[in-house]
Amino acid sequence: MFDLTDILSFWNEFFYSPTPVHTVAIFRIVLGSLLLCDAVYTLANIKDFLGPQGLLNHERFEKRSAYAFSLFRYLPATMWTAYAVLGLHVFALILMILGLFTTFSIVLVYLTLGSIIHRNPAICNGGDNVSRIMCFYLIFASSGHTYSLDEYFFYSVSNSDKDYLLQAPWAIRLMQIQLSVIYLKTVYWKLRGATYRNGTAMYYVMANHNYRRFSLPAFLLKKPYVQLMSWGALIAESGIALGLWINESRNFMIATGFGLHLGIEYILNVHLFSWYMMAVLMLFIDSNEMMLFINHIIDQF
Amino acid sequence: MDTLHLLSKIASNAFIVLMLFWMICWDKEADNPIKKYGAAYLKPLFLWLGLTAEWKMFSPNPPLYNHWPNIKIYLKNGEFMVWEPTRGTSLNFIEKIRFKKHLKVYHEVGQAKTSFHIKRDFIEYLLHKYQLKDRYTKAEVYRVHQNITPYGQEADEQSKIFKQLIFTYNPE
Repeated sequence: MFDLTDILSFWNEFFYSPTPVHTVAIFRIVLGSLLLCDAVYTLANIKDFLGPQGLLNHERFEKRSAYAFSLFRYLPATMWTAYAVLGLHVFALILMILGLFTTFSIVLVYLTLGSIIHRNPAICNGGDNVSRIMCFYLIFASSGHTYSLDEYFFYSVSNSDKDYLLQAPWAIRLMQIQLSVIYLKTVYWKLRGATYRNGTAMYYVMANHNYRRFSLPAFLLKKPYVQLMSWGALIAESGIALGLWINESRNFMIATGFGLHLGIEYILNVHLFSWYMMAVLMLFIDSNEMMLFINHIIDQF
Repeated sequence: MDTLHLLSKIASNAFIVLMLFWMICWDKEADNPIKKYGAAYLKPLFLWLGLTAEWKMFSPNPPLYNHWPNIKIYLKNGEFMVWEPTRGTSLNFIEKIRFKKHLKVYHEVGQAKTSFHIKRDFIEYLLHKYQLKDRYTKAEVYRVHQNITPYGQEADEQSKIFKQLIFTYNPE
């Protein structure tokens, strides 16, 4: 049996044992870049998504959104406001990607992202949720300590030992646990459905006109292939959720996760969900391996 | 360990416990006692922060039908206008990306069980877009749906299209 000392010791080791920050710094850049793509998408639809007479007009928005933070509640109901909030979001994202005033810029991204999403929750999807939650945790993750202008201007100037590269990883751990929870919850909810249990769910997913991007060959929608895909997705999601925490299977599970999400990206039109999930999977890559990989890329140039 | 460090450790531990509790206990059945008597008290805070996600896409089953809204706007001159979205199958690759979130709205508007708010919001959007605000008498939202042929069966009358009135909007 574990005693309390063992549990506390594990807790401290897991959440506070200093860990290199290279992986989370790369995650910051990747997440920021994906959010920048999303901002371009929002710009293309700005009138409908953020405009005062958009899919949710400003009057209705004000009546219904008192529960959530949004800058749009405090600003005039004009298109200029929509452009200003989106412009501020893009500005904060650029700072976040460059790693300049990183914590401040991520807070700003989180606030502007929340403002945009809360402006019309009906258009929010799973990808928006993942990005917002990860942005929230990233505020606490010391992601600006390397691969950033903050390192160049501040950290490396005042500390030649580079001990700022080792930080307590508790925020990263929360992001990693959140990822596992997403997969496990998804499997939990799906197992309540008969189509997942009998292995025909993928047939119905592929027949959905709203979400389908590309069709699969017809033979794949018949037994046993349709069952392999339906059950395979559940097995993969459960395996990833648990296998990411085991050293020996981690890299294989990261690769499986990438395969799963690239498959989803091919089949389903679910905005940036798969890309956000693949970005979060990167958080399980060992920082030393990540550093070697980045150094290798830098050496190529 | 100095006082500041101790306080910071206590705060971060409390934060970790709070976030773990929330992420594990929020996305549960509505009548789950932990959610009902525990997580529900934290809901206003997490709603404000925007951290109330649930992970139920295509759960417990993917939709067993395709559906979309059909909106009929009656005008004062006795005529009417009918609006229907361009179906996902008629969009090209770029349009599918560009209008992804619109498709989600159409999906929500065309559901019988979704809140009347979204249907009303969407009608007001159409009234403004087509400049009908001063010219309409009422609007109706129909749910058009087409069952997907059940797995293993040949396509027959299951693929017929059905239409059902789900919401009527009158001027306020």
